[in-house]
Amino acid sequence: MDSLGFQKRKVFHFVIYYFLLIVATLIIFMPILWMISVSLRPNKEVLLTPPAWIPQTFTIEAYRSVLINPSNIRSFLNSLIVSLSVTGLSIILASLASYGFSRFRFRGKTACSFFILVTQMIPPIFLLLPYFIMMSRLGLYDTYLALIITFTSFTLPFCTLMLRSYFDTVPREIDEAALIDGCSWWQALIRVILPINIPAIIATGAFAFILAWTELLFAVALTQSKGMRLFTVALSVYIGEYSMRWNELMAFSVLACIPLVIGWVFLQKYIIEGMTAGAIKY
Amino acid sequence: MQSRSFFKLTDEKRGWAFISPMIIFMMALYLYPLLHSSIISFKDKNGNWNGLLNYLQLFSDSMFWISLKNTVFFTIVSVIFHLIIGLGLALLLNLKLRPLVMNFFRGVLMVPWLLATIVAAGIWVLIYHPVGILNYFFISLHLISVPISWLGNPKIALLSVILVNVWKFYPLYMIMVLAGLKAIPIELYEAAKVDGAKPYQSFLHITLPHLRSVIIFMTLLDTIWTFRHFDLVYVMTGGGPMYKTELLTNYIYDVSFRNLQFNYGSTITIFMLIVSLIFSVFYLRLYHEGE
Repeated sequence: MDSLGFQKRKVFHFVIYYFLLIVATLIIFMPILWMISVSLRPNKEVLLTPPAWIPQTFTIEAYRSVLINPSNIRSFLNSLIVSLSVTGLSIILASLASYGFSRFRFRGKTACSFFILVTQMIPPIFLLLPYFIMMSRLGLYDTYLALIITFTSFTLPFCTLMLRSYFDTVPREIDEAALIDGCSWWQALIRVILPINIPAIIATGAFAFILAWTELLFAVALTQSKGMRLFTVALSVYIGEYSMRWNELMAFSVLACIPLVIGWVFLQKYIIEGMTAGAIKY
Repeated sequence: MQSRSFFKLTDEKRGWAFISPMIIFMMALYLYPLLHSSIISFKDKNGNWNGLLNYLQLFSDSMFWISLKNTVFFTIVSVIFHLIIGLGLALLLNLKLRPLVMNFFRGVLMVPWLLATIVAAGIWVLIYHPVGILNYFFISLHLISVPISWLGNPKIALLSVILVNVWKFYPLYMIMVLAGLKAIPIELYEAAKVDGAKPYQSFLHITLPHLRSVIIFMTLLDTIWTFRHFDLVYVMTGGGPMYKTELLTNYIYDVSFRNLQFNYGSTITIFMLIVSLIFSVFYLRLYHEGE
């Protein structure tokens, strides 16, 4: 009898617990479902009363209008070019630096790692005007390079901390073995350390890509011409329009999420591991 | 023994060789702004030194105080709710779930963090629309009788923006706390159970003490991050209605890029920098204790 009561209570807990989890997830995910639903209907059905979760007229017209517009396509391509370059640059600079931090003792090491930590604390708005002036003087205003350099300056500190915490877990004996086999330090990094840290590199790269892909403020301030717009800027122009084409805005948003969601499905484990490793030491 | 001396002899130059590309890059991009902003914050529009005049102007600038007040409110309320929701969901995810199910829920609950802020802003502007679903939902529950202008009503506009911020950024807490929970040795709970501890007792005496450092750490980081938030207000309200949602960052943007008062704008960014650095001192001390 007693064990039956215990069983019952267990089942009861189980039900309550799953109920809470599912309800919470549904509430949090609802805005995203609404975005997808609105993107699949004609604009005149967006603000119906009562609202319908399932579109009455199911259409991909909004996606067609977004994709048929060359400046939208251009903004996606721009975002892709900039984000991939930022990712590449961040990985290269961060893996060199992390290796240096993780393997060598040298004067100024503490000061340098302190500097890296502090740069993360600086509000981006503080950098906005100086970057604007700097890029204008260098003749880089309104170019990819301006965006790539500035975005990398935001991703690099965290990427370095993240990679370093991975490199620290690799025993030094592995480098020594490579050196004894006749590798230089440089080769030890490229041929031995990087290959065994591929998951860490992926996590770091994904992190840099996400940051660059979603950046808005500096994309607005450092570009001017329509051809240099990132998709975030193109979206903000959509939102600012007087007569809203909600279905197109939502279709555009869905399209902008696709690269991140695909990456997320496959790389979730690595990204989360990397983020928790880089930000917090237990 | 031999290899250790080998390491030592060559460490100095090699270490610098590896870190210098990154350090040079970062120095160039952070020291110039620091110098530039500090210098021009002491000058007037025509480039003449005017001492502390710009800094004194802060005291008499009512917009500065309004936006500072809004920013403090925005930061405190957002951080508290990030913490509550992140902690709650992390605890739910940490109960006995199959790894596959756990990964699924964790993945789905992280999605708001993945979205570009501009995407989140677009979705919520639509949800907050006067004839949007949020008003419909509340009206059909008879909680309100007339539609609320979520972003237009001076009394609630800032709260509406905060809600979006909470929705967008709680996942960071969730995964950090979850990682902290996973690091607690399960033997502790088993031992407590053997000693007859109730579940809430193990929560109070095992879970919370172990999470202490994660929570302090994340709260500091989140405070620094939320304090400097810009995108949501820029896209959703533009600081209105009646400056009720104007944050410091948005005010700086307006001063520098709309009114073209670069010098005074730099003065306010220096103020923000100092506040951020004060919080950072605590963060860095914890970081080094952890190391």
